[in-house]
Amino acid sequence: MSAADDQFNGASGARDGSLSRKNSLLQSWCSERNQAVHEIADGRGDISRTLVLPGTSKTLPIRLSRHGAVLTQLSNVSIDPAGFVATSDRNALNLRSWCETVLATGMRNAPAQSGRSNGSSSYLRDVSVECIFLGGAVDPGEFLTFDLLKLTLLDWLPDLHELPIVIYDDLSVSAIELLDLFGVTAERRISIPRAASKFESVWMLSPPFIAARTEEPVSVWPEALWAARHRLAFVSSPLPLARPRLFLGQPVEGPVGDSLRETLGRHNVIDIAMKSRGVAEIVSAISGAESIVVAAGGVGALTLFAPIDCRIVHIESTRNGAETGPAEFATVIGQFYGRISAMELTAADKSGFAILGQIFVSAPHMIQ
Amino acid sequence: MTVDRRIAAVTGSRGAIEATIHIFAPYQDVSLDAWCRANRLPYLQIAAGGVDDTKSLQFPGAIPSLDFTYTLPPMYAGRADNVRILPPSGYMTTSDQKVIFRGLVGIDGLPEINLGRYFNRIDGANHYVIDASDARNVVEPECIYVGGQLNFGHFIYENLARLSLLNWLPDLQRLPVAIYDDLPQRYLEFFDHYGFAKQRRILVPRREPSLFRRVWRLSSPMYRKSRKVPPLFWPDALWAMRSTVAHLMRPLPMRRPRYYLTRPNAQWRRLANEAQVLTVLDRFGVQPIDLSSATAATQIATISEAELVIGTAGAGPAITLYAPTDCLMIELTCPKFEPIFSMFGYAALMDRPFKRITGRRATPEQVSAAGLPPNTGSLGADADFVVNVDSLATIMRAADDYLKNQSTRGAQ
Repeated sequence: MSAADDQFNGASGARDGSLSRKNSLLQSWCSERNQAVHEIADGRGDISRTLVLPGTSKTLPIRLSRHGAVLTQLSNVSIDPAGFVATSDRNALNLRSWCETVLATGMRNAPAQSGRSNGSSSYLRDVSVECIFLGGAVDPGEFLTFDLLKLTLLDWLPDLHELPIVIYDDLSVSAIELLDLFGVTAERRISIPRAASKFESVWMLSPPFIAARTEEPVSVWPEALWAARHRLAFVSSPLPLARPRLFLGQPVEGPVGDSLRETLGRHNVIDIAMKSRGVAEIVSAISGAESIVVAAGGVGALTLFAPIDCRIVHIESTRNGAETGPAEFATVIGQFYGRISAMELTAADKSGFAILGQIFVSAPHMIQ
Repeated sequence: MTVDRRIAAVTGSRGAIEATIHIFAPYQDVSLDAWCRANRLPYLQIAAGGVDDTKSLQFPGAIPSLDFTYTLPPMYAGRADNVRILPPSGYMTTSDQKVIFRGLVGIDGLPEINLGRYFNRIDGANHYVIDASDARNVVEPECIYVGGQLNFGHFIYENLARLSLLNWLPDLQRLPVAIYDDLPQRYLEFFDHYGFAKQRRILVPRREPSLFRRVWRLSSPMYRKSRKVPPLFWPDALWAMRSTVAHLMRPLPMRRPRYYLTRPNAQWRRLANEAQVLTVLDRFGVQPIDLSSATAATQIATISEAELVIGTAGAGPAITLYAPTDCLMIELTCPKFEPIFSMFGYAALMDRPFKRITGRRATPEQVSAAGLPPNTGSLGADADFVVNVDSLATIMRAADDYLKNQSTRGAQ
């Protein structure tokens, strides 16, 4: 790893989790090489909120740290799927997430494994037009939370609005639909294989979320969340008199799943993913939702588009807990939010079903 | 029109060179929702409202936080046909003797102030006796009424902010807006930047009511029902206002500026010890700046770089809507004046550090020593004032330390 790596990812940058500091170093690094950097937001301060779920005793204090937003233009670089950018002067930058966790696993290993930063030239694709690199996670929830929201930065730089956007060719159908809804239509997309590729001139966008080490708060650029809501506002529908209650996520299997379905059915909760034809229809329904029950699965990230007064109940996965997304969205946007653990939905402990009942009994449902 | 009672009144400027005959009649106050439904007219609700939220505003240093409770308003658009709109408030009267204004004006509970010369009296619950004269100006095209206050702060939050709703109502985006014919050029520039160029603007007179054949009314994302209940704030509108003109905001410079927003032409609520305040601020690298005559684009671009803004409570600091979300805000205000829909409210919704410094009423000697012309304000809250410069210096020191500790851009 070079001195420049240390500058961007080592002791000076990653330790304090501050994208602002990294922005500054990145600014210096790029200016030395006549590469453009546009910092459109700095990253000072925290956002704290105690999330509550009306009708229940559920509370969840959340603290997010705030980071900035940066666009940088790089010339003659290669980018691999882990987000590492290898430059022609043999430096390697981690511009996917500015994330120390990724850094620890990815930065240490990826260049050596791929051989990209030591002069290897076996690239699968050579992109010669000036473009914006997005790449994109395969999981649609991760794609929305960590990749798609980056596009909101382009609102600040209209000069880039005509540039093509590079994505991986294995993105999910819903990811592609989200890109369409964001105005990135097929003719503006360049699809490349999920492998290292070379770029003559590429713009990299900083992420709206940085998942920090477990003891540190998740870091967020809040404006991206609001800008995304604004961007998809046109998909929303006027509120119906009876606002819908929705279930989002993968079906829960087994006897617990049966009990959950029975409970949700009794309270008129609709499984929107099962009944909808696509992302636009789901977002449209979500935009008027009174309550949303989110279970494991990427589609839960669509709660980003739920109304500010929506009640979001997040059923934690037994394996992964609650994914980054709905709780952080609620913290920024102000939605009601609470979690029910998988343990609370077992045959031995049915308290989760009682909580669901309390939520729906207390919910207004009808517009006053 | 059924008129139960008519009262003729003569008003006019001093000397009665111009006199206006008002014909007053009773009107029943109804909601736009109820009236649209009763008349089978389109009414589109996009947010239910009614939920309270509390934000805690912090500021660097061991300074107590300031809590701000607001309520989410219902957000909607409704169409009205053959209605008269009274300027500049936007009160709307119908041929079936209804008056519609709740959620459509800056504050619901002050009809006598909002209506001005069009107000006669309140005649029992939900009944108002107000001007009923025929409108000479007729607006034929279907349009969206926006109107427009001349006070910059009110213009931003009371008028311009409504256009945000159109993001949620794409079918209405093709319509022109109806605005008053005397709005300053720099206000018109805001319409340009929000997608309503000159050819999409219908000018209506501020001096008299207009009859609209088919008009859409958009609810207000920032308003008050009365001074006794929390203000109403729809955060989506505020953020949409920012992202719509994000292209006018500048990338942050290596050294971000600190601004004091001056009010050189203010006629009331003036800072009588501004010279001493400027001396303190200068020690901390704060530049005085007058944005009041700058173009809309320049105002937005300039404020978008700031790391700290100090403003005197009033219209001007409404431009801080477009400042960075991490920008520190310090509001200087006089007793009895705590504006909501400006620095304070925007800071609360964007989690910006915010500090309010309330001064004390300036003595006649202080006003005279400052060389200020006579104060033309009519309200108690319009008094000129002074702030304690020692307190200001303490607060500035805390802010300066915070910014230096957080800064990655070299010493200020």
